Amino acid sequence: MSFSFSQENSIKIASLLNRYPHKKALILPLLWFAQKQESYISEDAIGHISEFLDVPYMHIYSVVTFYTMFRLTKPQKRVIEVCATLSCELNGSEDIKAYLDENYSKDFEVIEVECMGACSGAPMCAIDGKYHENLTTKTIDEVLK
Amino acid sequence: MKILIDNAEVECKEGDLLIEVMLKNALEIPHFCYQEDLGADGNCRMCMVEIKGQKRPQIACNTFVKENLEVSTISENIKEVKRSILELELLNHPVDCAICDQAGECKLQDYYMDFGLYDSHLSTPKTKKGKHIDLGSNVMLDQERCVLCTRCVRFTSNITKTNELGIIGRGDNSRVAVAPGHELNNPYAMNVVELCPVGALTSKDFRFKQRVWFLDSTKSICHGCSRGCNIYIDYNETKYSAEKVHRFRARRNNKINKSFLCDYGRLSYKELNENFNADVSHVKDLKELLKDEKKLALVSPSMSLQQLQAVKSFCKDNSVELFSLPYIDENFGDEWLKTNDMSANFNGVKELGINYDEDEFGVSLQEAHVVINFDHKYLKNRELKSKKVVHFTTSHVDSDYELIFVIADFAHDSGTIINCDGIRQDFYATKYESQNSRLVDILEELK
Repeated sequence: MSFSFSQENSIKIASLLNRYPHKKALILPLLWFAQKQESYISEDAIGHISEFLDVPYMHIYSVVTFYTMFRLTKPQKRVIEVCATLSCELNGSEDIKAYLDENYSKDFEVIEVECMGACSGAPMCAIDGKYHENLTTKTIDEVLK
Repeated sequence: MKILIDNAEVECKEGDLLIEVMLKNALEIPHFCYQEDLGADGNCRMCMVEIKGQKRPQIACNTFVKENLEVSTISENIKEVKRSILELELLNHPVDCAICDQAGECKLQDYYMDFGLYDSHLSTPKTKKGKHIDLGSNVMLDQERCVLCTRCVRFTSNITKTNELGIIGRGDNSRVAVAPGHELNNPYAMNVVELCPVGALTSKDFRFKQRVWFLDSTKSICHGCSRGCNIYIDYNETKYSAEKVHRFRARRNNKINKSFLCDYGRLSYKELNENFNADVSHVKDLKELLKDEKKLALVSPSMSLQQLQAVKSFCKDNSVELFSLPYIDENFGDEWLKTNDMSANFNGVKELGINYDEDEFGVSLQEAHVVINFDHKYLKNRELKSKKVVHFTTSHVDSDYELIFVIADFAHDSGTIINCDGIRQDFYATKYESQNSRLVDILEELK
C-alpha cells in the first residue's frame, strides 16, 4: 500500500513550496496534510514525505514522535480531543475529560491535547476536527446525542 | 597567544575551540557530546567552565579563545554547576553498573566519581525505557543508560550518511532509536559502540565477555585490508581460555582512519584466536627437502617488511623462486576506509621487489616439486597433487602437507607495514610470549 497526497492537498503543497527557502521547512505542514487525509500518519506517508522533501526517513520519524498530536496508529473510534492547556484547565477541562471518559469512551477515543488556539471559548474540545467551545456536561450531551 | 586556565598559562591560537585547547594540553574537561571527529553539538552541557567577566557559565565546546581569556574549571561555583548537570544526566539512569559492559570505561562513572557524589533527590519513579534492543549489525541498545549526546546519531547522519539512528520522543521520554521496520545496517555500524561514552550501545560480539579493567592494550595496525587503520588490540591471555584477543578498537590517526574502523576489520580479531592443534615438523626435515632442485615459495602480502625481508634472503640463499600475490576482492572496497586490496602490506612486497606476476607464478607452480607456503591464503587449503608442500602458518591448515611450521601472528610479532597510500607504520606485539616461534627466528635457524 503506497501513499500519495490527494489532489486537493497536492495543490496546497505546491503553493507552500515557494514560501520557504528550503523544502525541509515543509515537514510539519506535510505531516498535518497526511494526518488529515488518513486520520493518522502511516509508515508509507513518512516514506513519501521523506522522498518528497529529500530528508532522511529517520528524521521525519523523529519529528512525528516529538509532537504528541501526530498519531502513528489508526484510530479505531472517532476521536474527541480535549484541550488541557492553561485556559481550559482553569475553566474545568479536567471535569469535562472525566465526564467524557465515563459516558462516551465506548464509542469515542477521548484524548487530551495541547492548546488549539480557542482559549476564548475555554473549556473546549474538537470532534473530528470541529471545535466545540464553552463546554458543559449539558452541551456535551446535546452535541453527542 | 596565551590564556589562563585555572591560573596556569596555556599556549593557543586566537579562535581555537576552548575544549580542543584543553584536551590538547591534557587538561581535564568532562564532556559527552563533543568528539574529535564528530565535532561539538552542545547538547550535553557537561563541559561548562567559568569565564572571567561573564555572568553565566559557558560550554567549552562552543567557546572560542581570545586574548586575555581567564577560565576556571575548579571554582566552587562551577563544581556545583557540573554536579547539577550530572544529576540531570543520571536522573533516569538505571545505575546497573554491576552488569554493564561499559563499566570501567564509562564517562558517567568517571564523572560521577569526579564531580557527582550526591545522594539521589528523586521522589518520583524513574522513566522506564527500552532495554536490550537489537539494532542490527551487532549493536545492542539500552535506552535507559543513554545520555542523549547524539554521537551515534551524528555518526550515521554526518559520517556514513545512512541516517538509521535518530532521537524520538521528547523530554523525559526522548531516546535513541531506529525507525520501526528499519535497522542499523551499514559496514561501519559498530563504530557507534565505541563512540558511545556510556553503556547505552554495546557490541553483541563483546558484551558479557570481559571486564575492561582486565584487558591490556597494544598499539597495532589492522591487517584486514591495505588501508592500515590504526587499532588497539585488547587482550587478556588467561591460562585456560582459548580466546586471548577480545576486541579491536580504533586508535585515532587523523591521516588514515580518524577514530573509526570498518566492521570487517573490527571483527577480524577473531583470526588471532584461531589455534593450530597438530604436531609441528622439525627444521632439519626442511633442510633435507631444500636439496630438491625445483623449489617455489609463495609469501603472504600481509606479512611485515621484516618477515618479507627474511623470507627473501632465505629464498635467495636456497635458490627458491619467490612469489607473492595480493588478495584482491573487487566487492570489498568502498569510497572511505575499505580497499579492494585485502593484503596489509602489498606495497611492502613491491618495495622489496618480490615477483607478483600471477601468470609467471602459475607456470612455476606447475613445474615445482617443492612448494613452500609462507602463510598465503591461496595455498592454505588447496590440495597440490604430486608436490611436496611446506606450510608456515598462523592458523589451522586442512589440506595435506609434507611439513608444517607454526609461526606467531601479528599480535605476537612486531613489525612494519606500508599501507595503500605509502604510509609506513609500526605495530607492536602483546606483552605475552607466543607459544609459536617468530618466522624470522625459524628462518635464522635454517641458515
